[in-house]
Parts: sequence; C-alpha cells; structure tokens
Amino acid sequence: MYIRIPLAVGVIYSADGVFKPKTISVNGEKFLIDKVLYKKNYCPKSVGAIAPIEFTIMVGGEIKKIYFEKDTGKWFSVKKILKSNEGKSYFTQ
Amino acid sequence: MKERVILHSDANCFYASCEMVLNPSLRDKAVAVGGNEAERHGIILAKSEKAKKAGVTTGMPLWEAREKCKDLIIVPPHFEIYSKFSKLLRKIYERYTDYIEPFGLDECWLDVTSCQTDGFIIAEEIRQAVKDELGLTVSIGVSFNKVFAKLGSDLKKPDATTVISKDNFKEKIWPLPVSELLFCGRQTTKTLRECGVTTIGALAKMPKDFIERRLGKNGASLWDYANGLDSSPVIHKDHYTPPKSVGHGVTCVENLINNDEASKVIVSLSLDIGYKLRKENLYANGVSLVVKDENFVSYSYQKRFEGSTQDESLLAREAISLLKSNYPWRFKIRALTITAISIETSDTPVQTDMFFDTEKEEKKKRLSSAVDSIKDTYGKSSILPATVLDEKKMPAHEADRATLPGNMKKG
Repeated sequence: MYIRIPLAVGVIYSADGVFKPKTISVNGEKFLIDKVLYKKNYCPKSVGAIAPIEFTIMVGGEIKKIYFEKDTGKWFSVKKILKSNEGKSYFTQ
Repeated sequence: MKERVILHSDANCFYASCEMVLNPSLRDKAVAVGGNEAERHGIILAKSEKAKKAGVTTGMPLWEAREKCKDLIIVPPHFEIYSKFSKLLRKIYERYTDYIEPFGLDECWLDVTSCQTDGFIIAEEIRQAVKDELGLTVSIGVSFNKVFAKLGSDLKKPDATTVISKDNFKEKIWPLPVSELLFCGRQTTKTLRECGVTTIGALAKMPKDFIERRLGKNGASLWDYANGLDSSPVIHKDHYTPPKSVGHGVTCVENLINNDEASKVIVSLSLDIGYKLRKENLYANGVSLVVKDENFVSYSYQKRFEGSTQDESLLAREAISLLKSNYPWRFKIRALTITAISIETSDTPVQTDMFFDTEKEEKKKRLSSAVDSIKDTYGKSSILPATVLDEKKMPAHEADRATLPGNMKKG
C-alpha cells in the first residue's frame, strides 16, 4: 500500500515563470536540494493525484522523486507502507 | 488535395476511471459511479471494465446493478473532477492541433491533417501521454473523416488505436450494425430494418435516392456516412456555438401533489435559468415545461413569448400557467424540467412596441445584475425569493450551499 506524504517545498522562480524546487522541509528540518535531475508530467499509479509534475531530485547524495500537483498547488512524495508478519506497520521508501 | 487525417479519442470508462485515478485502491475492481438513491435518481452513470463484464450497464438502477455484480463498489459522482480531467485531456490534444471538437466530456475529434507526423503515430503518442500524465486510457480511431474515426475508436476498447483507411473500411466498418452509425437513432434503425437494411454496408449499397425518399435529408447524410463521404469539418477549439436552449430539470425527493408544490419547484428551477441566460448574454423567446408523472409518463408543453427575455420570474410565471392550464393531476408529479427555448444572442435586433416601458425594464436589469453579483460571491442559495424558502421536495446539493463571508460559517 502506498500513501501520499505532504511536503513543504521551497521553490525558486525564474524571470520567465519557470520554477524548480530548492529546499524540502521534513520534521522541521530543512534540506537543500542538490540538483533537479529530471522533470516530467507523470502521474504515479500508486496514489491519487491530478496531472502532477514529477521531479527527480538529488538530496544529500540520494535520488528521490517528488511531485507537484498544479491543480491544488501541493507538493508530495510517495511512500510505501508494509506490514510485518506480526501485523505491525512500518514505513519504507 | 491531401487526404484528411481525423482522430477520434474516447476516454475509456471515463467517470469510473477518474475515480480510480484519485483512489487507486479501486483499480482492477468492479466499480460504478452512481446517482443518489435517497434523491430518487439512483442509476448507474458509468462503470469500470470489470463491472461491465459482470453485466452492469449505464442507466441501470443501482439495486439491479448490485444484484448483477455482488462485489460492485458504487461511488457518488464528482462532476467537477470529471470536468477537470476533460480539460486536461484537451490540453494534451492541443499539443498537436487547434482543431479539437469535443463530443461530451470524454470524447473529442482532432484534425491533424496539417501535422507532419503520421496519424497513427500521433494517436499512439496521445495514448501514452494520457496514460503517463493523467493515469487514464483512451481508445483512438484514425480515419479520413469524423464518422469513421468515431466508429474506429469504438472497435477496440480499452486503450487501443484503430486505423480505418480507404482500403479497409469496407472490411472493418460495413459489417457493423447500422445502429452504430452516428445519428442513426432507434426510429431510423427500425425504418431501415423494414427496408431490409441491418448493416452499414447494406445501407451503403442501397440507391441513395431510395434512402432519401424514405428518410429525407437525414437518410441522405447517413448514406454519405456509410460510403465514407462525410466531409464535415472538425471545429476550431475556440469556436463558440451558442446553445439552442437553456434548461434545468429535477427529480423531486417526494412526488408533488398539487399546483402549489409544483409552482415552488418551477420557481426554483427558473432561478438558475435566468442566471445562466444573463451570464451567457442570451435571451429566450419561449418556455418549455416537461412534466414526468409518478408512472414515468412525460407530458410536454410549450409557449412562445411576444418578446425576448432573461427574466426568470417571467419564465416561471409562464411555466406555471402552462402547468395549471394543461396538467390534469390524475397522477402526482415525479420530475419537472423547465427550458428556455428559441434562444437569441444579445446582438440580435429586437423590435419593441411603442408602449414598451424602457425605464421599468432597465430597473429590472439592474436588480437582476445585483442579485447575480451576490450569487457569484456567496453562492446560488445566498439570495432567494421568499416563495421557495419552505420548498422541501427538491434535492439538496452541496454546490448550492451558500458560502458566507469571514467567520460566519454555516452550522
């Protein structure tokens, strides 16, 4: 099962209106995005969203995917929830 | 002259698919979008592939659908979401052409004749883009005219491209039932069957003048369609066609028992029509009233006005007058539909009479404009005639709730 994780993302806009994410805040801590590797219109099939833009970014040396939903102005990432054999649930990327 | 390249794109199980995009736990399940049973319009509006295979059909009552498919998950409709997805689909089509003609929320024709790329390749690119970017699937027909392109998109579902060319249309299209042809309705199909015509091919092979004698101009058009001679253009995306009528209908939550109850519903319905006419700068020259009784039998009445109007109180008054003069009240009323007919645009010249009270008319227009501004800001139900305040038999809709300013939240 997958869930949407809302993100607080700092964005920079160029003079011609093109924007890209610069920072992500998680649990009160701000991370600088090293680089935006790739950007495309893509809707993940695992969570609900309306025509989001997918950004493949590098943060702290790791490659992550975050999404921007133009319709709502919200940023999110996708996380997988797994259940252990004991019925406890835990998060994984 | 270069042959036209027309695409017809049809979003598969559109409403149900939109619901599955927003709630992926519904994927691969038997899902249907259904109306509200409590408000007495509990029918299937759309179904997923799995629900279709179980025998669920559009228009089926919800109770019957549940009997046919025990695992059926029924979700309420979200028309604002479907409208969003419809616009997003058109944004994808606009990457290829400005000649995009919608046919409902989920279907569009595209004229890609001027594109350098082959029509089939464009169709495949569109299919992939719709799947990747929106999570929906489309079936696309590629042909040299609109009618065959639409038939092509129906041939393979879901998520497929079908090419209908001058070389293969006799093999692919002619065996199809004649009822599949655009604008060939139930009565026309029956008349053609009486002439021994049951397939599109059979129609194509009949003498054209014989079909025209039996079915008139429509018959001649159908013969042209069957022979691949449809030359109707795909309209430009910015082309605006004013509506021929503006109507509003409702199935009441309880049957109406007398003129008083029906009048309140008519006034409520007319409010919306007047608002729409003014918003679109249109004028009505008549009103139509359709009454459906508790046995689902419909009665239709019409009246033309001497002048044109945007005034909902006039529409309501005339509709009520039609009801009182014509409906015998042998049975209670289940549903009412009011339609402003013989629509004109605001730039149509009007002949007024010398006793026309211009000042009174201007006052009325200013009042209507003020009321419309209040509705635009605070919602359609924020200002109403007192006569409808105790009206209880119309269904309540979320969209009609008033949006109050600041901290004045409704309890």
